[in-house]
Amino acid sequence: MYGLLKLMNAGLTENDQGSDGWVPVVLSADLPVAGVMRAQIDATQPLDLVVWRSRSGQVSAFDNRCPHRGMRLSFGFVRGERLSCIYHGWQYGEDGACRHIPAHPDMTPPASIGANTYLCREYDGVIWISQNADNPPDLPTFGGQGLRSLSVNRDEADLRKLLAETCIPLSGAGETAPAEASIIAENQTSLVLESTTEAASLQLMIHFQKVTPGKTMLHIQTNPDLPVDLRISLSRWAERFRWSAENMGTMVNSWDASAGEMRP
Amino acid sequence: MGLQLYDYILSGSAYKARLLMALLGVDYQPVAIDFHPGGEHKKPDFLAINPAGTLPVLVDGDLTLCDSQAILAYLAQKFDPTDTWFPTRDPGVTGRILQWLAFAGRLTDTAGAARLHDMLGRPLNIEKARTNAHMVLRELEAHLTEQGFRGDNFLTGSNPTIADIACFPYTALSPDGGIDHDDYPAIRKWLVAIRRLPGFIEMPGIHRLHDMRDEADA
Repeated sequence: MYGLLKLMNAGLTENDQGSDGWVPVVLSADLPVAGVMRAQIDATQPLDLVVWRSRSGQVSAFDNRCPHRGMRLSFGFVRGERLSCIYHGWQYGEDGACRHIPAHPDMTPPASIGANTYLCREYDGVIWISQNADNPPDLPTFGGQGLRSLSVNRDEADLRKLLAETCIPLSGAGETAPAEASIIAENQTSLVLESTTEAASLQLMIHFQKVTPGKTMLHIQTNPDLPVDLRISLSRWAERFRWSAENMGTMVNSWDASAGEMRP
Repeated sequence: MGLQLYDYILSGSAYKARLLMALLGVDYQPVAIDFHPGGEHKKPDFLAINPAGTLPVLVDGDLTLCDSQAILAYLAQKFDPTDTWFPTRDPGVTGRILQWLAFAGRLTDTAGAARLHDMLGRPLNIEKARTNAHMVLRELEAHLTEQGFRGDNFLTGSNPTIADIACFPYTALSPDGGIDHDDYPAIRKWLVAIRRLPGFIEMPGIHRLHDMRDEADA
């Protein structure tokens, strides 16, 4: 049962809102070994982060700013268990501490030099970031498979409303009409969309990352082991959903339910 | 006289030709054109070679080719004995490759134009160029996502073709024009797959992977 009870019980509390909570930034499969990426989080204090995976698979997140000259660390590259800045090659360990300065190869960098770090958890196929050490992760369990991440130029609150009214495909391209879906669980970071017919049942877990004002990243997971043609259908559903979300308000009563996006 | 490539180091289009020749192990003689600040590509001596005033130009004996996509097709047909870089036996595959070559032109017109604006100060409606570039990258991301479901790392299958080489430079260089890759995980993985190809060469703004360097991990 994909841990749905836990997700519902997580509920919405004031403490959980805002930048103290855990924020999803990427699907695990999209940050391979030695991968380096930038993630922005819209919070009271907006965050610009570098997220990287070491050779051994450990994921870390720092402020996206080299303490040396301010270069974005997301332009850097992974050397073993360290992240190396592309500008002058200063290297940082997973704890953010500077380990090596190429211009002074014999010097042990002072402990005062370090990148500002964030809590980072890889959980159930998703990488999560938090600013608050005292706040243990209360993360949804789904046991699903990553579908894709999708940026949408729309606020999270609007997307949650629109998802409540969407139809999702239950089979590969054109085999059956998309079926109505409903939100069966929801908390401050995520929701689960379910569609069930006599023939099939499908669940999508969608995690929300507020990126910048008006822009949201959806990290989408599905039931495990779906056939390729259904995964393609769901990816295309996500494209259509984004189109609808971004064009909502510029069109009037023109949703085409038969085409599988919003119901009128 | 062997192959001659009229070249400019910062040109992503010229880099397509350099990259494919490196991957195929083809020797050529580069002819450096002072694109910036000299504007040599718009002056009579160069216009006599390519009236369009664009780079690169490939000269092979009597043949002069002035379009980077056409140059890729020619090089692959002439120098790839394995027939994998531009396979032409299957009409569907050929059609798809040609479609991605045309798509590469849209990348040049959007992300490439934004980069020329930011790097060399070319006049342009930069916001419009960036918005259009993101629309093009979204198309690429959607396709590469589906390729990933199929287990294919490249645009038209499990092997790279000239379609990948054509689309690679201006996608990889788009951050130079203020178009980040943050929103495009499938594109990020594809860029790494191309940089991992044996014989890959760099250009300014596109680096080799660290673990592909000779001096990797001291």
